[in-house]
Amino acid sequence: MITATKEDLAIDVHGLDISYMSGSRRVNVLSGVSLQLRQGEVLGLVGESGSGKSTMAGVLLASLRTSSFVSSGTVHLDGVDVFKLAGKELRAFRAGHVALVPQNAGAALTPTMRIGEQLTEGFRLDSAASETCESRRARAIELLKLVRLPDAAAALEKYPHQFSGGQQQRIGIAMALAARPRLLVLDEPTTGLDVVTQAAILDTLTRLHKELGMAMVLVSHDLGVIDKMCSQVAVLRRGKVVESGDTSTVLRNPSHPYTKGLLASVPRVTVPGIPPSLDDAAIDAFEKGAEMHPVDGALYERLAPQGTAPVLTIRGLSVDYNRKPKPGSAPTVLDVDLDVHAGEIVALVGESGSGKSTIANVVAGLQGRQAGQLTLNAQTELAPRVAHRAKSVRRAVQIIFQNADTSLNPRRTVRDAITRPLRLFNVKGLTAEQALAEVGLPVNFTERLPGQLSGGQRQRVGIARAVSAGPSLVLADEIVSALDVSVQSSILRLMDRLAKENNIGFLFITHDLAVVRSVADRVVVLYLGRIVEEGTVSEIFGSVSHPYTSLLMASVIEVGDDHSGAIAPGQDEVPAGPPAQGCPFASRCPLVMDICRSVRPPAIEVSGTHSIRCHAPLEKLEHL
Amino acid sequence: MLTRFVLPRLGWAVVTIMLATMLVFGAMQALPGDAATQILGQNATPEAVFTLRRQLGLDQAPLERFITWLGHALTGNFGTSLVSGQPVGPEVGRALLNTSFLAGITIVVGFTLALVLGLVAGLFRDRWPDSLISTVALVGMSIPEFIVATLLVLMFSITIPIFPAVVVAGQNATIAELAPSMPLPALSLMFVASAYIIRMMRTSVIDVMETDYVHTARLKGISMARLVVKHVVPSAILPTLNVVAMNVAWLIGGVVVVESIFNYPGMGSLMIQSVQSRDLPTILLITVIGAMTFVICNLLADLAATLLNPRLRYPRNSK
Amino acid sequence: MTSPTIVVESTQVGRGFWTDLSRVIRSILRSKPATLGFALVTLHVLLAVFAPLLAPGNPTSNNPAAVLQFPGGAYPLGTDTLGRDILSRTLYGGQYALTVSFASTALAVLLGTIIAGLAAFYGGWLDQVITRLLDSVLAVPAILAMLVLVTVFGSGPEVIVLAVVVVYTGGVTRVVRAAAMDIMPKDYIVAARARGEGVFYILSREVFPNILDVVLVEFAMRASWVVLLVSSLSFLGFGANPPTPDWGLMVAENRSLMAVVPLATLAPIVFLATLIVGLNLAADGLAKSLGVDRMKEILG
Repeated sequence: MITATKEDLAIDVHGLDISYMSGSRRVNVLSGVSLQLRQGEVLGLVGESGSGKSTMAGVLLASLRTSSFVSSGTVHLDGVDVFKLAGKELRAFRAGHVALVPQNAGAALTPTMRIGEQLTEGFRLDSAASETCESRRARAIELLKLVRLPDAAAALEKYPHQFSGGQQQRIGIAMALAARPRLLVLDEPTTGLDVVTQAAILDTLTRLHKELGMAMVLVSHDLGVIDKMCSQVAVLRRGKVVESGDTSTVLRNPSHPYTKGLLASVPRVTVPGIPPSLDDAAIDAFEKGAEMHPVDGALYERLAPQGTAPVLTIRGLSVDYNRKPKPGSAPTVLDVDLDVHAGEIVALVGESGSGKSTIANVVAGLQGRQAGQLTLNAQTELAPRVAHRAKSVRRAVQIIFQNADTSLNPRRTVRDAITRPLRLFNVKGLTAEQALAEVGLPVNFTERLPGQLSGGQRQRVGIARAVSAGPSLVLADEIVSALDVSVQSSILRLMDRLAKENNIGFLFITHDLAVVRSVADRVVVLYLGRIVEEGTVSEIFGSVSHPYTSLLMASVIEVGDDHSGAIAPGQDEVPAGPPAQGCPFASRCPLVMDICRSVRPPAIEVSGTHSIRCHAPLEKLEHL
Repeated sequence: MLTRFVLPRLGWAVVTIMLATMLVFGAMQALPGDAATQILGQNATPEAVFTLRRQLGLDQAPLERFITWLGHALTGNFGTSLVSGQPVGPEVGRALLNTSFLAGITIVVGFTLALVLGLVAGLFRDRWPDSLISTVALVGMSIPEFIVATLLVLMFSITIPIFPAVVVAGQNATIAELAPSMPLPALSLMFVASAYIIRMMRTSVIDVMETDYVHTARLKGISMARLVVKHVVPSAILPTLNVVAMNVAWLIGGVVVVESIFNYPGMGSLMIQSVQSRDLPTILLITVIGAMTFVICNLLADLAATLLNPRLRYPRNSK
Repeated sequence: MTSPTIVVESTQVGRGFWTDLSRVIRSILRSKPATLGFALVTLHVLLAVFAPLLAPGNPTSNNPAAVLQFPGGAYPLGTDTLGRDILSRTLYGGQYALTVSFASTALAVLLGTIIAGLAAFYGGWLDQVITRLLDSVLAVPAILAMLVLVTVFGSGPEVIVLAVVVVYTGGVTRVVRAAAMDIMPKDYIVAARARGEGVFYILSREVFPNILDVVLVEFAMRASWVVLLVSSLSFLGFGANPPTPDWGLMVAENRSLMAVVPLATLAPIVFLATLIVGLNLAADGLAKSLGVDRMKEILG
């Protein structure tokens, strides 16, 4: 693929096997990996959980988990065989040559040290910068300015916990750059950040790469991010590189069925419908030499139910975590109206801290409320606390959780988990086996413990537990965000089927706009506990939006975008809480006017179903 | 920080001490017979007992007596000893001074050493320095003080007579007179109290060594010494402080066995004597001091943790 | 980050109590110190149970004719000041130590677990009150509390058990409460609360199975402390009543004659020390195989 001398290559990995021992058996985490990267280029390592991509990132820093070892192959960085280095040499190599931006900078910054000190210890070996105290300080400020951290000089004296997640990530990048590395390894640098923050950080990284010109390796599960950032890409599956090459070739014209399937399973903001899921078994067979049948790549478009009765009506809901109102602060959730109809999937969308989970907890009766009325099936008032609700009401409202790991009791079998609500709510004529079949799991799973199931299977058990009670309303809190993209779409299809066949209304809480587009009927956009826009899915993704919705859309990165847009500086700075008056989005809004800071914006009725809360005239809200 | 952190805790501290004293006071009420029969003996006439009860205020209800005691205690008057007839304050004070001296030596020498040993064991996890230190700690945790003290006496007073086996200076000895007999009691206490500190420090060093931030710091290529001093120790010492506090409280309020073996005139010896003679005023004052030490040690540990932990010192937003 | 190793192992494990148990036992047997610990404890239990068969003489009968004998003949380890057989007294000594310690530890752990469960479930003011009350009990030096209780109620074994329960329940509650508090926010508890389950169901079916490991380690650990404390009490003369054969009491009785009959002091010391070392090693092994951090246990 590349013909170059060793010194021209930033990375030259040859036939690498990384293994660990399980009893007397040797298990490969990586097998037969060969990769090359020229100086100054950006390589994307893409794969799902268990693909070995994080192990690969560690390899590039000559760092392995204690139980793992190199069983064959070599890793040369700039012509240096890194696994031959030890002790002082290795430390010197790491200090001057290669740096890591870790996945979660919040955990990777030492909590007891000031930012300034942590930064400066990185350029000990950099003689120009480390001579005097002033020059060190100046260099540290320069680094923080480089990563666009606001108020760099003051930041030096602060501790890591005093920054937001996005700012911590910026500091992590600055720290990695401190030693002027020739190779920068980024391990899922934006996973776990809100979409706007992610876009802003990636913009910064692109700029840094242009200015500093070091080679970079970006590890990610997100094909859009890889497409935006990388010139080369390697697709990993179960420790093997299945396909590699120029990003444009691999992602636009994939040749391996796994790459094809992965690309096809990603939901798009720009295209409605649920994508097909990846056929893992067929790919396993293909790897063993079998023929791969062409996969039906058609998207499934969901039809919204028409004229069904409401199952949940929320009017004027306000929640305040402060017991006594404090001056200058405002309720966490204010004046929320929301309806869910039978058989309908309503998406509640917002960034972290938008209050979307708070609303779900209020509906479930797990969180108190200061004001507002909740009505079930247009007839039953919902008591604030679950303890005061009748059994029939508790049965009618069920929850599915984000994290299937903690939503099932690790000591109780699948059967226990499913049959408990059946017995409690006196559901007749439904067995655990039938409930499992309903969600597409083999019936012999009943005796398994949650630890013996995969993430997607556990999530199905969680769904079975909720659905078997025969609810009319299901609160689905980020139910696919912890899952690999290839599993996501099968869960989304299941949700669609259950809504349709069992006439269940879903309140689907998520931050992922692409997933919203693929499965939701109606969308409610929440910002700092206030509704800013609501409408049908086609209206929300149409040409007129609230400035906040537009910002969210603009921040989404997908394969095939031209990746030219950039987030204006400061737009990723989310305030700690809602303002006491005016529009919550005023501090970040490009269209902000004086009135926005003092008066709550009115609802503009764009259509019978579409409303936007904004002071700006409608024509200004149209985007390209 | 003072109002937000210290004051509420001080409030709770006072409540805790009060409750603790009440518990001991209440338990002592269940004793058959009372101080009057104790003092006068079995053969006293009922009239004499009656008069003494009046004098001692024993004819009042227990709660009333507790409140009277509390009122006096708040003005610094803790009553007179039923045994010696002297005010209990100075007597307990002298014992407290002696005990604090012994505890001081143990804390300064023993606990510092324990923290260092714990750090070494944690850094050399599963290698020979760790095995050695962990074994010593295990033995320290497993052997009762009376055995440690007995064996030390056997070794250093009987087999090789270099230290005195017991304190002979008597009840009113000054610190200078006590000093020569200090080594064996101090050694016994160090051995027993350090064990938990060593283990806690080891565990928390191992925990910190496995964090993402230590991993990141290693990847920066900094030296081992800097890694340990700057990145590991400040975080590792935080959970250990609580164990240190528990042991300090024990050293002041609970060293009965070692003091009684070496006949050391401290709080522990006094505690045993006063319990044996059912000398309630002395017992109550010892309880107050014990509970106060417990509360203050925990408070200081929390305070130190706050000072060492920037997350508590600078809360992100003052919500 | 879950390492692939764990995934492989967890798909191999079966379900149920017996498979769990056999896995724990296997993992204990893999560690030499833990095996030694359990062996020592088992040995002590057997010695105490079969003391009547093993002991050459009566542990409490005085023999003025054979005072302070050297080891040999009818007295393998010699005799004490009253002419009692040291070996017999040492063998019988385990009965008192083990019975009193295990009974009181079991009671304290049981009581502490129940209180902790309720405090964690209800939270709020009830939790506050329980925590404050227990803090006050913990603030009284343990040894003082025990001395007072023994003075007031006498030094029978049932009083010692009561005193240990008073002194240790607070500590157990703190630890178990912390463990239960970790479980309470888990989604499966939230799900149970949202279903409207009662306190008994949630605690017994959802919470306790997940903190059983912590409770077991807590039991093993407290047991070693209690043996230590009970023997110290006997040593001070506030525990076992003479002529009960008890190790702490024996050390107290014979300490002054260490130069004359060293075995009268050393034999009970060796027995006591091996029992507590055994308990500690067993607690360590149990903690390791159950994945519980023993040192964090202490803090609660």
